[in-house]
Amino acid sequence: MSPEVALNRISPELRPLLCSVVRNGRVGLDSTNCLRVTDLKTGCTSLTPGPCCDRFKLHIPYAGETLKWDIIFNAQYPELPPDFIFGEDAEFLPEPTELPHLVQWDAGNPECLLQLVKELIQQYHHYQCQRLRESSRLLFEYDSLLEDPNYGRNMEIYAGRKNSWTGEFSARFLLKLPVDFSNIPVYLLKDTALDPGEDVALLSVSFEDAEATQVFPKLYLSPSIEQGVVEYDAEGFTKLTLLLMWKDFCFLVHVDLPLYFPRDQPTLTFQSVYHFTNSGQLYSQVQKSYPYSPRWDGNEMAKRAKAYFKSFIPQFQEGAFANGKL
Amino acid sequence: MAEPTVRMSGIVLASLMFQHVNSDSDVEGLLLGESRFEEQVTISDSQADNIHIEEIYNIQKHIACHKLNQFYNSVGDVNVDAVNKILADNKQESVIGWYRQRRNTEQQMTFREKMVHEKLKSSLSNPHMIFVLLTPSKLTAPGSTHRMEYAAFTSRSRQFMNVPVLVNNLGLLEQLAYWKVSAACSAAGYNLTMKKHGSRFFSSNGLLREVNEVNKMNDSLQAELQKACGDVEESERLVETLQAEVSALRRRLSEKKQRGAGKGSLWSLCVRLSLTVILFVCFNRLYGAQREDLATVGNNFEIEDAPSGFKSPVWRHFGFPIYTNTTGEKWTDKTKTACKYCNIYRQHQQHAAAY
Repeated sequence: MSPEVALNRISPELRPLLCSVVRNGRVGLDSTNCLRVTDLKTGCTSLTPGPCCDRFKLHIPYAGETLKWDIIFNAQYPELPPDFIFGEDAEFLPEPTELPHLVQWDAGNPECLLQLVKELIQQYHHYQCQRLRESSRLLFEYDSLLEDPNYGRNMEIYAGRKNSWTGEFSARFLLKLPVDFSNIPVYLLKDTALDPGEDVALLSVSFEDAEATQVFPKLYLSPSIEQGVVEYDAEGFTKLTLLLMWKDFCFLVHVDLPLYFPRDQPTLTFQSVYHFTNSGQLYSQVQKSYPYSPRWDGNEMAKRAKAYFKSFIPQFQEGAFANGKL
Repeated sequence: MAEPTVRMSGIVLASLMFQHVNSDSDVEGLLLGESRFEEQVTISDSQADNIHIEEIYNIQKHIACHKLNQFYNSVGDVNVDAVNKILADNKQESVIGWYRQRRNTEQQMTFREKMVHEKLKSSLSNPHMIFVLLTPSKLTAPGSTHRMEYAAFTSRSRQFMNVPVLVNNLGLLEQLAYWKVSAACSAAGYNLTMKKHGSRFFSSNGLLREVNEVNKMNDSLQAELQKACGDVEESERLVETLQAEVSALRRRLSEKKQRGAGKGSLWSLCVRLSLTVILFVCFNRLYGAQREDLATVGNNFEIEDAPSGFKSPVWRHFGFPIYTNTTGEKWTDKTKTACKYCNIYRQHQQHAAAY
């Protein structure tokens, strides 16, 4: 259901509340996904003339899952605060004192519902973290991440249902990777008119059992970041190829991470997209001795790499023109 | 552990539904009635003593709130004064729960309903309370058929569980147990009426008067039944004796028949054999020389039956030959006899020997 359809069907008194949810409703780490509204229904009799819908399902992206919560208003009493049914999480009972926008519900504030939903998600996160206590191994993983301020505040946990047959318990961690995208220029954007959204890199790690013997990582890049990446190793994350442009000169950079990275330095291979060698291969140069230190964090490494590129690209371009054939 | 059950009459359920049907929003209110615990002891072959506790909530009445959120706030805190105002003249002790009716929603308790339920239990100091939820919805798209689902919930240690709802009809649907007395009616008017007219129907021991009369009639019936049983037994014994006599008589008769039948058959056999021998000898003497005649005549003769005055059974098998001469004239030769079964002399002698 598109936001416009939902807004047309909702009761007029409730429309402002729903408007901020469907238009500005980006919650959680995965802000590329908006909140969605479906199953609009009414608590009025069928003789009541529309639009009079006052209850709906809200789809909330969380930790790689989609929560489906029922939100119930009353069109005849629009000033009353909404009520919630938390889908399959029947045992989730948030602490009312931690929901200030419910305690002081203000039907005249269009942002009230959105803020309340965010507070509920916070409570839901605490509830899921509590459920991790069923597995000491997963709890250990969680506590380790919590100690690191880079991850502790940017984490969503979803503890799955315990399988009543096998007793297996699974969980998913969604982490926002602390990457500074401000210095990375936007080299290629398919449609500059479209808002690509916030630049974000998310790592989703699924533990299929309580002892963490089966682990499945997955990397999510926001569309604007993904545009510049040609390909990358999605399993071991040891290889990355970028398509870059410098003064109208396009080239590929292959980054190979060795087995003992960061102890060992990654290999950078620059490759022209225009020039061929005599043997018919694309003209390329491998660089292994550029400024590098294993003690640098990820952002520092990227910053230094960017500085190196700036100094190296001009001579690479000259070499490509001199030694390569178009 | 006690197993809770909610019981309400069809009238109460219908009035709840009627209230919501006539409302343009969700409705809620309080439920009045009686809750009691019953201990059932079951004895079976495998277990000598099985104690089973039933927790029964009898809903007798409901009081609707004039508007929503009348006795609680946004986080479910209950206002006891508001509850008492809603109750009016009814006692707080008679509150056994509350209800809510919401259209087109899931049959699950919401967040606030759970809060309100817990707070109501502590505010009214009643750890045993129920929440009844009715969720009407459209079954068909045009709205020609609607569905009204209902369920009851109770909570234990903040865990909410579904409780079965039984609607008392004209007769209970249970077939495995004795009739359970429903909760006494608490209406004052009812009690006054029973006090005024009770003595006409009830005897001093609390039973209906007719019950004593019926018991007496039952005793008389039992006595008559026993008498009839005695008569039947007597007649059965008589029948048994007669049957024995009849069997004895039959045995004697069959024995007699067997003896008589054996002599008769042997005697008749001897008579037949004698007759056969006599006939054989006679024919041999009479017709022995005329074998050739017969042989000469051969098969060209017919046989005329003996006159009806001849009574001997032998004439069933013999007759007089009728000859036909060359001119076609027929004449009966009564000086000879011919066998009806064969046409030549030799065979005639064999048949005569057989007879």
